[in-house]
Amino acid sequence: MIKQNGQILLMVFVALGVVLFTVLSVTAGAQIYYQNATYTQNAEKATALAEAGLDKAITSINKTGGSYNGESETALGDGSYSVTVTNKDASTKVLTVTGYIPNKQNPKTKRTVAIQASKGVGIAFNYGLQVGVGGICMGNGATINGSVYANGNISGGNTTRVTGDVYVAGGAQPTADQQSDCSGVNCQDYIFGKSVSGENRQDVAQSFKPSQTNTLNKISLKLKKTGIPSNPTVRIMKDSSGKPDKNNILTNGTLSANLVTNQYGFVDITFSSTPSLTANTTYWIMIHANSLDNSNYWYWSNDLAQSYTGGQPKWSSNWQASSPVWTAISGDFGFKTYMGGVVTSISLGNGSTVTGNVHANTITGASGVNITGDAYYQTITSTNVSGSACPNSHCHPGSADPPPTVFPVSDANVTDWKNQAVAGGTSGSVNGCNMTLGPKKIAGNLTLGNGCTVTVKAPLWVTGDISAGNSTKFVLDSSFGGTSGPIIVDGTTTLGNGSDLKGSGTTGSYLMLFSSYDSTLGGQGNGCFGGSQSGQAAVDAGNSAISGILYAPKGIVNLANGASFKEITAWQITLGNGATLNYDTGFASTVFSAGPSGSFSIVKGTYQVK
Amino acid sequence: MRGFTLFELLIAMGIGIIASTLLLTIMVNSAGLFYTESSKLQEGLNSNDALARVRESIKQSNAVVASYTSGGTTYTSSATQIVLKAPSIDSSGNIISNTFDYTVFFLNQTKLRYKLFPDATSSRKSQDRIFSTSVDNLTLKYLNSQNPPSEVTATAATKVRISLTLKQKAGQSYETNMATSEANLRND
Repeated sequence: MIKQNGQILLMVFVALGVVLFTVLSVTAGAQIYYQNATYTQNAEKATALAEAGLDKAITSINKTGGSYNGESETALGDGSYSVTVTNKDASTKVLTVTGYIPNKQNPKTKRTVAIQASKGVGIAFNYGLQVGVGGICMGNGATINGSVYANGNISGGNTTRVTGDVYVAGGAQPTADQQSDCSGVNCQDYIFGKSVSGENRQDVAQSFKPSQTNTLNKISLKLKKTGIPSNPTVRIMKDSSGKPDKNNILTNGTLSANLVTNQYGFVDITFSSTPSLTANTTYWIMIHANSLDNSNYWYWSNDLAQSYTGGQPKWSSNWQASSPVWTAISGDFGFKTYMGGVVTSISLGNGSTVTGNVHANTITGASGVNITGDAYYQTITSTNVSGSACPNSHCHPGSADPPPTVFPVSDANVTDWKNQAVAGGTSGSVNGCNMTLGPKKIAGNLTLGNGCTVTVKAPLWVTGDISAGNSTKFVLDSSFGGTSGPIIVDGTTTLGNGSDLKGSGTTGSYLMLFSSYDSTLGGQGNGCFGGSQSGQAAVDAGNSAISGILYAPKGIVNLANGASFKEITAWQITLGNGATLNYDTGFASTVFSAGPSGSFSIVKGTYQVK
Repeated sequence: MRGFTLFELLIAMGIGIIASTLLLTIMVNSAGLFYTESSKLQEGLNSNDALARVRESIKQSNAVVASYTSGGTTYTSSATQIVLKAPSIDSSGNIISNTFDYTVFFLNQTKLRYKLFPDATSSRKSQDRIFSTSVDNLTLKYLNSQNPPSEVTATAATKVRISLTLKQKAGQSYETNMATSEANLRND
């Protein structure tokens, strides 16, 4: 008999080998997946730790008045973080934070994030050209290259031209329809956006009754803030049994936190639409804070005398709850409501053209006026839309008036800057040429000759007039780095041809000429070109290419032929005959340097994962 | 010498057939298990890496933009494609003001593709990468900052939710892996 080797055993070994290979492969795969998943989870944890470290760093910088220098390693949760602070320029710090899992000495995972913090006020100029109730006056043959958003009338002579879209917002009545304010000892703080004595005050509201049936154009609220709360949403709501009706929101808008300072001031809020309100009917102004935060929260001025009889204030922890609970507050919050209904218009002379869409309550034209896009209006006369008279498919009668826009700098911002200027010292009138000025208050006039260069350490406050010769330059001091600064002038400003306002030389830095001169003084209205209703110009910019910001919220800015600028915001803009106006797009985020009282806040757009 | 009896032969053949069948079954099942698990592993790794990369890009971005055109191709933000605008950085890693790089994540048949279009002054390098080749579905939702968030247009988004479904053939069947992630635009 032939001895046979174990064939079955061989097959068993093969089978076992296959099974073993499979088991080991699957186990190894599971191990790889586990490691990858753990790493991904740890990476997220490390990023979260780094971001927590950023929050802590901002708080620490503000608590220590800017002397916080970072920390080597601080344990938190499953890991730790370290913070490095470096000075980018005089008022900007770069915070670099690394999160470690499980610790800095033997990290399995680490992630680094960086952000810039600046001791300044972030202001968003969303429009290159923003015009107030005074509107725009265009002489014969004047041209605006770009789109226009005006809160007032646009009036143009013959053959004027706008190479973009035109918006003329519905007009607001000049005086408040309803208002509440306090005085003396009756003024009390009402804190919200924070838990106070066990009350989670996330939502606060004030009711009011309009005296007339009309559209609501805008409101103003008397607020201040602590820390850096985020922009809350403001809603206009109907009333339901003495509380805001969560199912009847008429409109909403955003309160820009940058307009609110640590001192009370009325801050304007406009809405996405202008709702119609009925006379003697109760409505609510409701503010929803984004969070309850013990460091960053709001104050609404409360009048303990309850002098407003048309409504009352209430608070709630959740206005969207299935049955929201609103609790009455003793007093009346500071507010003003402005009704609309004032007809605004664009009126252009013979042969004028708008090469875009026009949105206005009333569009009036003359012979040969053409809108090449679409027209949205209530009334239109003598104007061709896309080549022919209305009605045609490009005419949209019955369109709602565009809502007004809020100017990006508040009175409270200006008060802050003036206080910083006063802290730098006060002098009398200044005459001269090349010099360095500020931060200071000039109680008088600033007079400069031709071809001068003035280095400005903002803020500079001139209580009188500024008069500058041709080709005079105002330049922000280089120590401002990437931040911006203002010159505030209470009187009139006359700039010669070729003048300029220049930033520090770093990208993102701008010098702003802020004129608080009121061109409507003495009852002057918003007429054009020296007519009986025309006021005196706040800023006469001559024939200049200005790379800074012109800002005159109550004044007229006169621009001569060939003027160009980066950003202009004014109550009224006047373009002389044949003048051409070119402007850049607005600055979405401009940070103005603050003085010692300013707090550090995150500079938008600077977050980086390193 | 004597041969096998018929009975012995039948027994041996029977044992051989049973043993072979068992071995074949073990090998087939093992191979199937191996491919299934390998597929799951690959999908899981792809999914983790892809979502981590998308999250990081979203966090660093200023905004979701409506569209971006490069080389004659226009990329438009939609439910299956996202175009992000992030600050450019210089050679020292510092942000360059008012200058932006554009990132696109999009589905190309079954491929999740990532393209980076840097500004001429940016130190970031142009990239065109494939994060996964077995994508069954990609869904992007654009959300606002409210709590709870509401869906908004792409350009109004402050937060983006991304759902990624990977599908890969594993043996006779398909393996499917679905993952969802969210990220806020930190530079919004």
